[in-house]
Amino acid sequence: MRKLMVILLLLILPAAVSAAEKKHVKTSADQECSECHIDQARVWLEGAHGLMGVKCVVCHGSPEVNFTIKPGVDRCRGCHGDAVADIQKKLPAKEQTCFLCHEHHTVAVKESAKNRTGFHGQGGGK
Amino acid sequence: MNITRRQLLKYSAALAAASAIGLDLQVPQELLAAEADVDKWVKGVCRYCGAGCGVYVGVKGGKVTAVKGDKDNWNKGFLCLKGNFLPAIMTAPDRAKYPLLRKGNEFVKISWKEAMDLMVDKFALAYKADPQSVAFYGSGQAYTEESYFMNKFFKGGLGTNNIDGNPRLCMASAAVGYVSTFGKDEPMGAYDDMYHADCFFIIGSNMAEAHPVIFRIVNEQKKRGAKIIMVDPRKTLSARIADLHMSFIPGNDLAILNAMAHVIVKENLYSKDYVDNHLVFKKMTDPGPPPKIEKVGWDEYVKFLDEYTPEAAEKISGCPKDDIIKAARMFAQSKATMSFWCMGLNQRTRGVWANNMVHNLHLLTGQINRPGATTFSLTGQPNACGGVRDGGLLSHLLPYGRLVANDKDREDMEKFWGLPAGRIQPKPGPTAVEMFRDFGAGKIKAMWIACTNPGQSLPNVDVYRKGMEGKDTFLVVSEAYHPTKTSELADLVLPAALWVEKDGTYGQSERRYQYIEKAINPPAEARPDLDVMIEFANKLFKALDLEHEAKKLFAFKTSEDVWNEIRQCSKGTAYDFMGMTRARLQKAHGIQWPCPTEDHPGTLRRYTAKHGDVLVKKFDPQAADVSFYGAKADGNKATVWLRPHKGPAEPPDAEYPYALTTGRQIEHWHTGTMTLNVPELKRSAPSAYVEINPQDAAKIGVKSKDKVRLTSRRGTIVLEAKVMDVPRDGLVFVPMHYPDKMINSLTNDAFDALSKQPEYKICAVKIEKA
Repeated sequence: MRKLMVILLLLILPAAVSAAEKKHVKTSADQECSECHIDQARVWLEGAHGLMGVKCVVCHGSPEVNFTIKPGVDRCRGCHGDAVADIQKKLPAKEQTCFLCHEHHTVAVKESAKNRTGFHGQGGGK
Repeated sequence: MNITRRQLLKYSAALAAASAIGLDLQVPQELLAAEADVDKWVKGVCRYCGAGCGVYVGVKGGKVTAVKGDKDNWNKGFLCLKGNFLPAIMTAPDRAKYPLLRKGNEFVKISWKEAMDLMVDKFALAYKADPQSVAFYGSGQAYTEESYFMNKFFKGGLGTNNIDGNPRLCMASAAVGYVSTFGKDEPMGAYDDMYHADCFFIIGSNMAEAHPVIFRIVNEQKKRGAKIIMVDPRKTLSARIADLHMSFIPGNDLAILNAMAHVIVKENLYSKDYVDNHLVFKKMTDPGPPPKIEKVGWDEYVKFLDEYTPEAAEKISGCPKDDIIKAARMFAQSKATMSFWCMGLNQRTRGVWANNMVHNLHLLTGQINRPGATTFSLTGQPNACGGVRDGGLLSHLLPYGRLVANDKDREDMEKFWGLPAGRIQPKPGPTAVEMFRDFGAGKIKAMWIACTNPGQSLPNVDVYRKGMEGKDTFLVVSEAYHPTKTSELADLVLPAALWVEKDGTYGQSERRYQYIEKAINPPAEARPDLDVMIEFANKLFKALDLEHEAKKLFAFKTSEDVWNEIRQCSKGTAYDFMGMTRARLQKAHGIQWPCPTEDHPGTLRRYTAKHGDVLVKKFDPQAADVSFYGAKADGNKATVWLRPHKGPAEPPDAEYPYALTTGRQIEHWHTGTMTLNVPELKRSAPSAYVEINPQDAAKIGVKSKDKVRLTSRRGTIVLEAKVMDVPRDGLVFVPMHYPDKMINSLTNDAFDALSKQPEYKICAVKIEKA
């Protein structure tokens, strides 16, 4: 039984782990995101999330471990559980993203989304 | 990145396969919280600070894979940076999984039976030689049931008060401050007061980093016009939202607080109703011990304040007099003022005085006992209030407001626990620093530390680390991680279940008690501390031929059994939460005590009948509304204390010209055993540093990223410099989280004479280029 489990593990683990592909260029461990991404960092810090101490790693992960350029909705669930559940319920899997309606980094509601109804925009996403 | 359902299913299968063959596969961070498709969501409370945010924990395949804020709790669904990454702390590679015994410089795996037998032998041997030679050091992170049990076991069962906890290092001054001013511990207000306050007076708290979810609510109030006064010698992230930032020479804020009172009195901004009907005035004529206290009148208080003019306070503190005057007026004249403070006031040799003086301002102005007007101490640990302050796991306390030095309180507890008269010792035991001093000196022979890391967190830590290494003493450490800076010194390490691997109750800063349901099993052989405590107590008593007593004292099978006894123990006290049954707590999003009956909704604001405190009628039937019923000896009136200005124990001087202060970063929590295991948090804040003001940096000749050496009278450390306009000139700041750069090698272990809380926040250092 144990052997069978080991074989099963060896077969499926690489596929699972490949999900965590790394795309960020190599940086030194103490290099701050803002050293290269100064514009994005400034916009973020001036916004509500930056003021509340939500750091780059919440959405983008750690450059060495689990970096992602395009954060999935799961990254927002910690504070916006209902909004994420709403998106998952109402949008097809491939279209599930907060940035359909929200700007990157300011996270302000896009002009094009201001009149959109049926989502959490009426206050549910707060 | 997008995680497909296929990838998730593959991972879940891998997890199950690994689990079946005994491998504890660490969950890749990218997959954590990747999918709402969890097996179940379990209600709980965040593991970190004393804010006590409600959370739901997502479980899949027997692992914690997701977390989200509880929108029906006070935090309205929000979590802080750290809270978002909670799942990663459960699967950290350094989780302690087996009992480990020290053999020379190595640890070897042993069975639980061997561990328990050895521990019983060592404690029994020490106890038989001298009942005062065994000790327990607990934690504001342990569950209430665990702390209550150990208190009963040591103070009641063993008849020793050698039991203290790490809240001595963070909350003792707040606790003694509340008790000495109001007669009973804990804030009377609630987080709800933030929504009603028009002025926030925040002193000695960087809440943007230490309590971010509370900071979020304070910041929201600015939109409706609330004003914020921030008193801090650093321009912290919190200070970004301040309308008035008052910087001062570190350790000299007592002069500012008295000067604010001076302005309030001279400008007739005080409440005549409070002065006439709800206050007494006292001064300490001799610090003791025991301190001598004298009641005085209003006139003497006014005369006492004469010397604290804003001009005089400016000379002492460096804070501009106009700012002091402005702050006093804002405080007194707002519709409702709410104060917040934390370690900046508590971790001081005059911590209790500083607490009293904030309360003074509220009492004088009547900014208290109505929505938005309250004096609120923030808490560092998730159960410092519920488990340790309320439950009495400090060496001078008994549960629910009782004192070991009080004859009637001892008698009450002896009756309640069914003990022979005289079992509970009348003399308070050693406090945290004293206990480790006694351990180092060999006066204490066997010590058990659970759920905390004093090998990193004690001030002047190197001295106490040497004591913990002692060859003739026996140190047991119950920990969820190994090695920590404490477990590495242990003779025996017991692997502990962490957070939702066990169930229990947390009580946070606003008197809200919350039940944490067990969600998953602990790894390998790790066990809930309560199970280990009950087993050990029974076995030790058997070894001491006290089996008959053990059957009576320790007949608990579950945490609910202990909780039900705790409820009974609180009955009739000012804490009364008989109405908080386990069943209610399982459904509720926390309940605030007092809650005397099962149909009682809990109490948002204490000491005011008008705003719902039913205990006013019970303890002070004549009161129309406000009653400080904890202060029965003072006619149910609160005390305004005449506290003179006093600076820190070790101010900068010619040899050590800079003040060092320590504190928190938003990424990390306490000694980093949990958060430094989270890759994202470690990447965001990877290492210790020293903040230096640009003027000081120019004087020393250093720039950012240069290595500098900090030296105090107790220790030395080399750190990377961050030159930034955050600390005022003459002040440097170092975070306290990093085990490889323990700033507590330098901090001062001088402590407050009243609370015995050490002065982490200020000591003198010199700085040189390394």
